[in-house]
Amino acid sequence: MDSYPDTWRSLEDLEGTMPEGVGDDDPATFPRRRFLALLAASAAFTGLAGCRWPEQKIAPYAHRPQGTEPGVPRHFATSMDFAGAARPLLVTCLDGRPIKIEGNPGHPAARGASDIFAQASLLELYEPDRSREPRHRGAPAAWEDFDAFVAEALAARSRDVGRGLVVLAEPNTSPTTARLRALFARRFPRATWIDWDPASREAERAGARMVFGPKAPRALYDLARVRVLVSIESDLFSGHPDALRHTRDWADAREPGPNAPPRLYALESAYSLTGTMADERLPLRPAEVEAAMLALLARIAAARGISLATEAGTATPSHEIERIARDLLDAGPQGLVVAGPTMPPAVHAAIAAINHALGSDATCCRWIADPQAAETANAWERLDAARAAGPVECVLVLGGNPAYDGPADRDLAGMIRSARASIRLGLHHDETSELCQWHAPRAHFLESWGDATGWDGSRCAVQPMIAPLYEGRTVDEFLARVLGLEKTSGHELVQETWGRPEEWTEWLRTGFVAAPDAPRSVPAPDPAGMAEAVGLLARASAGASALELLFRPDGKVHDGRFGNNPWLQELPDPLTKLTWGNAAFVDPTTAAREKLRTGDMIELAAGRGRVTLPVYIAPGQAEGTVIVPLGYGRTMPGAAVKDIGWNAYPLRTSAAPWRANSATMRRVGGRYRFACTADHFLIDELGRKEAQRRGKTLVREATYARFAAEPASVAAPKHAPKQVALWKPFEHDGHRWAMTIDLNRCNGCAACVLACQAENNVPIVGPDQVRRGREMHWLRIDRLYRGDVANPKVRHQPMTCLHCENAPCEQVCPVAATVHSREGVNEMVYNRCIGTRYCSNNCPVKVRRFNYYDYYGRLDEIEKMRMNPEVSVRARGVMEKCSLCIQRIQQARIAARREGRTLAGADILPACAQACPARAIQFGDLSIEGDDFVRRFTGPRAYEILEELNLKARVRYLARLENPHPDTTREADTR
Amino acid sequence: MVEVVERGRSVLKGFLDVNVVLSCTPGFFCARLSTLRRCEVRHPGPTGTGPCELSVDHGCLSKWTNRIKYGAAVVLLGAPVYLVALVWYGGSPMTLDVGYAPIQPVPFSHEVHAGQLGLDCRYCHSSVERSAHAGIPPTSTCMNCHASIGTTVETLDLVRTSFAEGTPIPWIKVHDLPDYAYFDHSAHVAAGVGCASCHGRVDQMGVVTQVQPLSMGWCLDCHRDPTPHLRPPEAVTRMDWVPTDGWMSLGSGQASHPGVFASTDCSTCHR
Repeated sequence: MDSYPDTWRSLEDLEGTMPEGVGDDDPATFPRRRFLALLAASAAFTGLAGCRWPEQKIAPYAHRPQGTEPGVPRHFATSMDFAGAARPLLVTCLDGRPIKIEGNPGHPAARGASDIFAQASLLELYEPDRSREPRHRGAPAAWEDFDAFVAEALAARSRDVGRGLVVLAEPNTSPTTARLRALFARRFPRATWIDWDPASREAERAGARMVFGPKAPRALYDLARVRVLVSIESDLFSGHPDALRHTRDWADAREPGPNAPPRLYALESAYSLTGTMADERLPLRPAEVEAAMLALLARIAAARGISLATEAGTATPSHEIERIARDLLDAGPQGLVVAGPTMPPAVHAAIAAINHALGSDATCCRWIADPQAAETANAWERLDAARAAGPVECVLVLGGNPAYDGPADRDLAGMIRSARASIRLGLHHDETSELCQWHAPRAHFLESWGDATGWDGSRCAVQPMIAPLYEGRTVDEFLARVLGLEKTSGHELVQETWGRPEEWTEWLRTGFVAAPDAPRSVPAPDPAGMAEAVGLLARASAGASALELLFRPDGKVHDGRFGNNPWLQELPDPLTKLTWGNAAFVDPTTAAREKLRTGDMIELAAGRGRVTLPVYIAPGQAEGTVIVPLGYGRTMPGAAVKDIGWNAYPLRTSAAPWRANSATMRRVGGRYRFACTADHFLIDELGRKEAQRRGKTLVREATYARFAAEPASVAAPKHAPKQVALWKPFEHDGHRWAMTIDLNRCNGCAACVLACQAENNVPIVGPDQVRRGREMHWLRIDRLYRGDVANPKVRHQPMTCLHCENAPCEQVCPVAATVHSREGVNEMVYNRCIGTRYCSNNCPVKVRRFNYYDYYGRLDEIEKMRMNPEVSVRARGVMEKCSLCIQRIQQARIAARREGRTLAGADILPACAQACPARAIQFGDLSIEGDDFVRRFTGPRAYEILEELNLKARVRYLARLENPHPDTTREADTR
Repeated sequence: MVEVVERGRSVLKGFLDVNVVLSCTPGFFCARLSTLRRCEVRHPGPTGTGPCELSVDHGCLSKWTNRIKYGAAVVLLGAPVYLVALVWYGGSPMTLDVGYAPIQPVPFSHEVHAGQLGLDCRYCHSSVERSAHAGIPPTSTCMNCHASIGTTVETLDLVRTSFAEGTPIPWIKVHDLPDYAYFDHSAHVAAGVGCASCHGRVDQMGVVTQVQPLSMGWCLDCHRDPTPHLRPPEAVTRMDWVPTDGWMSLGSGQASHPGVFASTDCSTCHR
């Protein structure tokens, strides 16, 4: 495997320096004497506490609801309305409380998969910092007083037909809200309703409007039919409302088989998950992307004989763009170009033109009416007009958090503060609530009745899994009261919108009704719009500044709304592996020029905004860019949110939401130490060298061409050593559980990490502990860079317990706390563990996690409700690690026995495999000869990592395959 | 610390080995010894500054006291044995848990309901075949009969209140496994383990009493060889079932009971 280029985990790793904080344990702060004293005291107190058995009470139902059985989980379909579309979900409830969220297996977009936001929304439900009661100027108040105030404030506005009334709403896709909003508009015709979403896809929509007119339809991508896909700064595989479908379709299309694999090009400034899946990636600044788009459009238009009606874009394209253009033209109607929401409208308009010229708008897209097309247009003009027309008397803020995330040039906070009446409905008493006179708690979607629209137009149900924990109300319920409707409960409101009582139960059961198949009427781009887009692109690419400051919604806290969600905060970012905070991501060239190192503090200035924050050098980022993820640096009080990261919203204006051209960067004094997990689990210099040597062989890859020619060579080690076992071979009995992780499918989205965390009660430890390398995730995703710093390749490798038959951990445990089951699961027996940590030291892949503290020691009653009762909650001093979701294996086994069936591997789905949108993780039984799973496990792409250690791992990886353009140097093959 | 001088000769430096057990605070020691018979104490300095010289005639205390040290040795050697025995037997679930019979808030008698009336266990514990938990019945199950039977009985007041107000009856748990042990009723019922194997003859209990230790060793005894505790699935809830000849002829060992999977892997019970 020495043929792979250098593989590295971080810039420190590449340079060969030890990262900060390695081996930085703190035994000195905890003297031995004190330890012994505590030991004695705890023994004494344990003795005292043990004098009486606790008396346990059982409180059965007085009237058990139909269909409930104590201890039997029930599953309900619902959906999470988030970032422009419903995410169809299936929620597991046990004894009346939701404990796990999965994707709705019936919905064609989800197919049982979910993303990190859906997984983490469970924690949000039970979050202790959620708003619990209405507040008047910060002081707790009664719902009656709140209702009275709202009624009075709006009665005054009603007399004035809504003049001076502004609604700032978090956009949603609910037909019920849309219906109530129409009623609202009729009642308050002069009121201004602004949908404010800091991470909106408005640019995409504006681009479509440019070429398709005001009723621009929405394109749904059918990646299964694509042969050449060009991603322009797109978020196809993460962040896009339809990312789950894209991920699955693309992974299926890339499965090696008789058909030629599709190819993916990525043109982007920062590395995105889509970029990590690309066969060829070009790091380009947005200005360069615009130029490239222009060149690509001109090239394709010329080839197809389409006149652009403008002189612009006749410059010769670079050879990369030329190659992409030729590849697209070869693919014809199977060549698709897509762009992300941070690209300006002109790029989207150009793309529509390119896809139309290629014919892929008919073959690779489906077009539906955009349910939100009209609502989002010209929002700022309307707000300006309303503010100019007279004083803003009353502001309703429904969800969102405009005081924190509003654009710097609009002063939404000032408008709220100066209004005579300001009313807020929010999940938290946050920055916006601080400014409002009245705040009322909003119900979480898991405790709400509602409806939502999927990206594909499917009508999704939102039903409560639990009664509101804090008497919150939904936006619909709030609006119904404001409008003085007869029916004000969410249940009745949704039923009324639904309108088909006979299909109601079935709708709730399946969770959605598919959108009617729209005819594939393909809109033709308007030439005038195209010309306008070309002109804009030409002007934009000409007038670019030296340093482009870019904003992106954060991959974890999104626009900041998930800030107080510690699962997301502690999740290592798929690319940077940062936890607990953001940074100013600077490209390596600019950093070298400015002599910046990761951790140096800089001041960014744009317009009147100034932010001081630390630098993180991001390999593969386009030269001349600084990228700041939004959503951090919040001031709301909360266990996980306050003062985490830096707030970039003050730099952002409504005119240029994603890019500040005239930004400046200035170095200021000071350093910051990130909580970054990229280099964790190194022990010392020797270990670092060995890890670097081994790192090359961990991810194996080849081109499709080579795989087709000599399949056996892809995954096989170059020098297979002769292995002699020191121990008796493992004797198995019955099932032989095993797992495969397909590196060709995994795009590093990390849904598996959070699914595992939710399923297995994995604790969170906080930034300080992460800095010490004490994060607890049972499943981590190693992100390996390969090659040059300016544009390295990124390889994701989910790493979990390998369940080695010849397990090094078992051989060193002095108390047999980790043992092998007959079915091949490496088991952890918490009660036996005395915390020597020998096992973790001896684990070659460092997947064992130690409870340094009693992380679950101080949970309140509400927080405890989210625990999965099927998994022990571990105490301090105990080692833990992946159990292959042993609880699910046992549950499936018991269910099979109960029903007189034989247990099959297909009955069992570990949490990670269930969540994975790419189906990269597969679980199965090796004892069934000829099973699909066994073929995959022993197939040509399957390999065992570190096979020289003779681990006989039950978790195997499938090698990644690349499909570079034949013209590019066949690096992977010739090296 | 004292030095013992006997007839002018130093015989011991340190603690006395006879007659008196010493704790050597000078003042106390001097004063105390000087009151004893046939002792001579020489104080080199003022009283209480020690070390003192002490002359002891044998017989300062009675001679039998010399045997105390043997007794002390026996106690010292015996104490660990006693302590181990105390913890081993005294702390075992056999001693601590078996016989636990808390007084319940409603004096429900299994003897009457399961024994005399012959109600099947599953009438009340209805989820035993489908869930890990056998389930304590909701109050409405009680009221199926007690809506018309014993409507004025005082002991049922709590049941009626619970039914009317929807508040649960706070039963006290008798068979309490630790939270890290994942016992599943449905798995055992499906395999043919009788209720009585773990819960005893509940049909003869006025007050439900724990009859088995429910310890890990006790679980493992059965998991290693479950066959003596198996019965035909239809007889699982029968309290008075005895193996028939036909059943006995199936033989022992798990192989003779194909539906049974009594593993001793840790993860069978611990997750």
